[in-house]
Amino acid sequence: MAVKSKVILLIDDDLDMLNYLRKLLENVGHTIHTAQDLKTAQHKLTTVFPHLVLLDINIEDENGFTFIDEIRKVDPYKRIKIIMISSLSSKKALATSKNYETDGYLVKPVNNDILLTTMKKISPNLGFPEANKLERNFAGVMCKLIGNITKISEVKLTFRSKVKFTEKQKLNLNSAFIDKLEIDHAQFIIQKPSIDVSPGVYDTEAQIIGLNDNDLKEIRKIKTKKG
Amino acid sequence: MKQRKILTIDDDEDVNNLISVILKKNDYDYRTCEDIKEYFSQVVQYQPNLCLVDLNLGNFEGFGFGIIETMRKKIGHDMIIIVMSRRSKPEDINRALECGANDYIQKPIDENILISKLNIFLEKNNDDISFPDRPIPGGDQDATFEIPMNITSISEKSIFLYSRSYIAKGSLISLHNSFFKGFKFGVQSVTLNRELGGYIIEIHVDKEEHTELLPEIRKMMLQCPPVDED
Amino acid sequence: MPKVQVDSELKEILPTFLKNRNTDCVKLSELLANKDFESLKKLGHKVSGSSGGYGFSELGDIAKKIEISASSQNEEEIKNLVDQFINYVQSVEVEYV
Repeated sequence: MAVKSKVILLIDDDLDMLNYLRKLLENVGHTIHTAQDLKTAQHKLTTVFPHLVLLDINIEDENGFTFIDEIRKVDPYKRIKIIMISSLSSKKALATSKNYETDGYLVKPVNNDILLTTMKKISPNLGFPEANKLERNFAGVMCKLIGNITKISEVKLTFRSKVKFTEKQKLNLNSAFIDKLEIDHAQFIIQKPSIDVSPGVYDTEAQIIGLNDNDLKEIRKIKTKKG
Repeated sequence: MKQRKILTIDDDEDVNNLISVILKKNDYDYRTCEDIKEYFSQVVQYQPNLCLVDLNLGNFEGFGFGIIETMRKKIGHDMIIIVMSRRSKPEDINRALECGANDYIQKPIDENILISKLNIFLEKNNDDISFPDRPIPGGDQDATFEIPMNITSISEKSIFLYSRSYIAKGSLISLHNSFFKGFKFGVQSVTLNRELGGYIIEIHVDKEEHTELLPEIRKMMLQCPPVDED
Repeated sequence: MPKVQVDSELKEILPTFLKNRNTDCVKLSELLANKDFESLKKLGHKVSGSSGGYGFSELGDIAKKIEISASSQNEEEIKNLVDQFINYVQSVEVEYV
C-alpha cells in the first residue's frame, strides 16, 4: 500500500484558482488544505504540516515570499517542498524566487498539463525522512495493555497477558476487581520472570506490597479452590 | 543458595523476642537491636540481607519515616527494608514505601505473613507456608497494566519502539504521552535487540484510525535532524 | 479468670513478656497519676502492637482502648481501662498448646 497521496497546502487569495487547483490535485488523490491569506496559511501550516505548499507570491501585496520564512521555522531542514505561483513572469519575481531556493515555479494562468507535469516531477520527492533521534519528552511513552488477573493471595497475584517480563520491576496495574477489594493503594512488584503458557501468552506473578490487615481480610473472603 | 540474614530493630523487647522465635523456627539467621545506633553498627558488622524496622521508633511520631530515609541514604537501595507498624492507613503505608521501604507488615505480626514476605523477597521457595491462591471469577479478571517504552523511530507508515519486556505479535496496545494520547495499535513485529538488551516493537500507522496523529508525526519528522549531516 | 492459650514455641520468651507487662502496670498507674496523657497514649499503642503476637489479643484490645481514651484525655475512662489492664495481667492463666 504505497502512500502516494500527499498533503498539500494551497495558498492563494484567488478563490477560483484555489478551487481549480484543489479539484485537479484531489483527482490525483492528494489531500488538500487551502488558505486565502497569510494568517490562515500560518495556522494551516502549523496544524497540518503539509508535504507540499503551493504559494501565490503575489498574495498580500507581493508578500508571499515572507511565508517561506515561516515554513522554514517549522521545517529547519527544508523537507517541505514549495512551488511558487505568480501572475507575473517578471524578472524580479523569478530572481527573488531563485534566492529563496524553492522547488518549482508556476506562472498564471496555470493549465492542467503544466500542473500535472510539475506534480509528476516533484511527487517522488515528497515526503519526509524517518525520524530517528527524538526529543526525550516525545520518545518516552507508556504502553497500556490488557490482561487477566487469574488468582490472588495475601502476598501475590498472578495475571495472564501477552507480555513476557524478565526483569524485576514495579508494575502499574489497574482493575475493577482491585478497586472493589479496595486495595488500589497497594503496589505490585514483579520478582521473577513470566512463565510461558502457550505461544504469545504468559503468566506473571506480582508480589503485593503495602497491605494492611483490613486488606488481608478482604482477600481472605475470596473463596479458595477447596473452599 | 541465597543467604537469609535478618536484622530487626524495634524498641520493644517483646516484639524482638517474638520475631526471633519465628525466624529461628523458619531457619533464618537473625539479630535484633533496640536502638538506632546499634542498628547501623550491626548493618556493617552483620551485613543482613533484609531489615525489619519498627516505624514507631523513638519518641516522635513519624520518626520512623525519617529513619527509613536515613537508612536508605546510609546503606543504599539494595537492602530490603520491611517496616512494621500498628498503623494501617493507606497514607501511612504509602509514605513508608515512598521513604524507601520495600514493604509493610501490620502489627501484631502474623507469622505466616512475615515468613511469606521474607520468602518472596529473599527468593526462598517454601511451599509449606504459602497462602493459598484464590481463583478470581472470570467476569472480574479484566485488568490493564502499563510498561514504559521509548520510540526509536517514527514515520507516517510505522513506528518502532524499544521495550525491555517481550510483547507478543498481535497484541493490542495503546500509547500514552502528551503526543499519543491513547491511540491504539496492533503489534506487527517483535525483534530481539541484543545490543540494547530488549526488544524493538513495530506498529503501523493507519490513515483512518490515526488521522489526528499524522500531522503530529509529520511535525516531529520535520524537527528531527538528519542522521548523516555533520 | 482470663485464660490464654499460648503456642508452646513461645515458652522461652513468655516470662519476659509477662514481666514487661507487670512493669507496664506500674507505669500506667504512674502516668495516670501524673496525667501524662501523651505517654499513656504511646504505651497503649506499643502494647497493642505486641500483645496479639503472643496470643494476648484481649489485652491488646484494652491497650488500644487506653491509647484512644488517652488521645481524648478522658480521665475516668482511662482509669477504668488501666484497672482492667492491671486485673488482667495479675489474674491471667496461661495454657501452652
